[in-house]
Amino acid sequence: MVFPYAADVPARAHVQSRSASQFHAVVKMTGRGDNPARCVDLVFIVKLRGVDDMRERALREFEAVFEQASIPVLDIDEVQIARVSLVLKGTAFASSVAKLGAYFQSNRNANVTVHWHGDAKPAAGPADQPGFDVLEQPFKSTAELVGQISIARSQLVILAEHEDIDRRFVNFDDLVVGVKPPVMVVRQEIDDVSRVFDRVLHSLSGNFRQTENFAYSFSLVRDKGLVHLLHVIDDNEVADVREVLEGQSALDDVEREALIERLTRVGERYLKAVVASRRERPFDVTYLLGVGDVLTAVRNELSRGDYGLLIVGRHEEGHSHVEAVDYQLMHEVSQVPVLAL
Amino acid sequence: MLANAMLAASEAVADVTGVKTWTFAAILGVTLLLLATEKIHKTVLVLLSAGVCLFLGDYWGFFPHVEGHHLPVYIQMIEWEVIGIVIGATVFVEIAARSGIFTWISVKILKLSKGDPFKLLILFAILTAVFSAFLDNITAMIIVGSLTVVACRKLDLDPKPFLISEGIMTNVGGLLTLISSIPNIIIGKTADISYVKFLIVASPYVVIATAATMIAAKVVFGEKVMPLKSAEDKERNLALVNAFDEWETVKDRAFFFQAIVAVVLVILGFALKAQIPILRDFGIEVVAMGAAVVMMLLHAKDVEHDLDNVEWSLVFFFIGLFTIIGVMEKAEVLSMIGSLLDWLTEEAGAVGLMWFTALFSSITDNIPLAAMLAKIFGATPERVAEVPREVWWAIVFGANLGGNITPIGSASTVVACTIMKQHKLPIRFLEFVKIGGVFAFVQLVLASGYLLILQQFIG
Repeated sequence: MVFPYAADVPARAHVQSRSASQFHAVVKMTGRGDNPARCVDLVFIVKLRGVDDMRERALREFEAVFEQASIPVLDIDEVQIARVSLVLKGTAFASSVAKLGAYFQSNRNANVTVHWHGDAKPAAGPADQPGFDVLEQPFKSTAELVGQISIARSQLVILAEHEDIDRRFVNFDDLVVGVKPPVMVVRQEIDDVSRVFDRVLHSLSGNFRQTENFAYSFSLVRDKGLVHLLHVIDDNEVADVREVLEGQSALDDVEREALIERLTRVGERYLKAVVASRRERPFDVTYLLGVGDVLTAVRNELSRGDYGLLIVGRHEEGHSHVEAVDYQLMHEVSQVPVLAL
Repeated sequence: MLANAMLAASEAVADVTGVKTWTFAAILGVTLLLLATEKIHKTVLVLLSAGVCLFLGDYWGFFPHVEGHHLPVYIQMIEWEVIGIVIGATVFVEIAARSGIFTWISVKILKLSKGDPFKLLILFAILTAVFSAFLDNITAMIIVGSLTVVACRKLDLDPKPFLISEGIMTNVGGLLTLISSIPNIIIGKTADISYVKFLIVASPYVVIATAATMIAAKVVFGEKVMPLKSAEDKERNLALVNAFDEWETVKDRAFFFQAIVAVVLVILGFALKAQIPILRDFGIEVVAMGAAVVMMLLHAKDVEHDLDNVEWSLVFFFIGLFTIIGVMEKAEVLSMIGSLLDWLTEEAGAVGLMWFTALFSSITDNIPLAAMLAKIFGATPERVAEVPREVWWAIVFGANLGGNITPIGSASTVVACTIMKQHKLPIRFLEFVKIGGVFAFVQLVLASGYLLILQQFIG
């Protein structure tokens, strides 16, 4: 991971002695606390030196405490999913992909475009939905598919991925990286499509980059449904922040604990802001903030949460940018559809 | 040398002539005048004045040398119980405040207001009064005042009316318990008023005065504190206050809950001291110091910092002040003032004494006044028994409520003005007097009536 501003940050003193603003800067630049609304304003109570008036100092400290307690309400807009691309390849799950297409068509009034590979003619059943726009020209490579999706100006791509790697027509990773809209991958038959959007697990993987992420979760979940945000602070995240702060020296336990404590505060504040932003909406948002291994945490949560959809990844500068952890999740999880943002 | 020279003599010292008395009276007058002008730090001033008094008193032979082991006279003059309570309570409150109890409660109260300006005014005023009863007035004002500024910024309200009301309500809340303010501690100790007795007598007045102050606030501040009318505004403000998360102010939940238990136990300790065998034989300062020790045990990682937060300047101020008053007693300055006050009390009753105390407190520190009056009216146990009980309450009401007349009348109104100044909402001296004067007048009129009632029941 590259931190373009790393060189600007002095990397000498112990993390515990750093000022709030420096820590804030590092958290922002590593993508651990930034957001467009600038809602997360880390205000730590730092010992102010050179202030001789105890009362004025106490006033400032308490004001900072209450500012911190004031959780900003994020402005998260709904995402209009007006154009959906379905990639049908004649695999067993193509019918599930078609069902999802029909769901968006009927519930969101979306225009559905069907893309198909040259070696696998569109299955007559799934693609033959009334209102589906089946492209005449098949694609022969993932790059061609990316081009078709771009021309169709789709806002969501849905495809099935066969377990057998030889029977896959699309390189999923290239597609996710290549297209602008989010990509939903289906690896199991879906009986009841509406249940996919009843309970949504959104894995943040330590990234708070853009509120746009939540816009997708909030737009996709059904009324009376649940969006559960899962943010796990893992060693990578600690190391990322630490690297910028400290350079190459070894991380001791005290520093690690101090960093985790601060990252936890940043994360919790941000998650509370996201939860607060759904107040007037007809679904619930909950969150879980943990420390440990992201993959394990997501697996555990999926196994006990009866989720219909897992959302991973993030958007950066308009293009999908998948982190290592998201990549693993996209490939490891097969029981529920995975939406890579 | 001075210590040796100041060996105590409990017996009266003769040869205090009119000139000497008037000389010390002049020293006292100059000290009080300089205290009011605040040109010199009050601690330095009283220590300097105490030094002059001791040297002059020794030179004129007020403190004759006696044989044997005796405490130096100035040690005897200092009311160590008061100092014990101040130190104990300061450490206790400092650590308890760090647990987040008071900030947590403040945010909860903010949410209860639903962002409605009038509800906010009432609830914050009550909150300030309650906090002042258990914290020192300055801390109460700092906590509630800070939240007021933040909340008003979010709700797009003018914080001035809220801060003024809170500054004034700290002095009303400061009447509630024996340890709510230093004049209470001094008078309570001298007049031997228990914590429970103090609470029983003072609380009805605090409730009435709070209600009256809120009605007056609605009249004085008008549109700025009117309830919201449109559903849209109500919804907007509700969302804004609900966005506050009280748990964000709590750093350590275990310590938070421990502190709650400790606060409850300490309040019970103060209230039930007379009934608890182990505490019965000790002064209330033992409860305060015990509470401080317990809190330091709970928060053992930062004891040095906890002790740093004791207002040592206040402790030294007391040392100097009690010494001055002790010398004034021996120089018969207090008996001279006492004759005047006896005349005042005889002519105008306890109510007159209360108004006098209030006016005096409005221009200078109420602590020296309370300490001096306590010494005058409580010179001997016999004198304490002679003084009508309502006289003590007149001093308590006057010393506390007088602080509301001017912005410099009490530490909490000074803090309120400091907050306004910090946020570029400065208030002029006369502007405050016009507003605070109305509140103080209402409160003092009510207190006058209350004193007359007390006279009937406890006289």
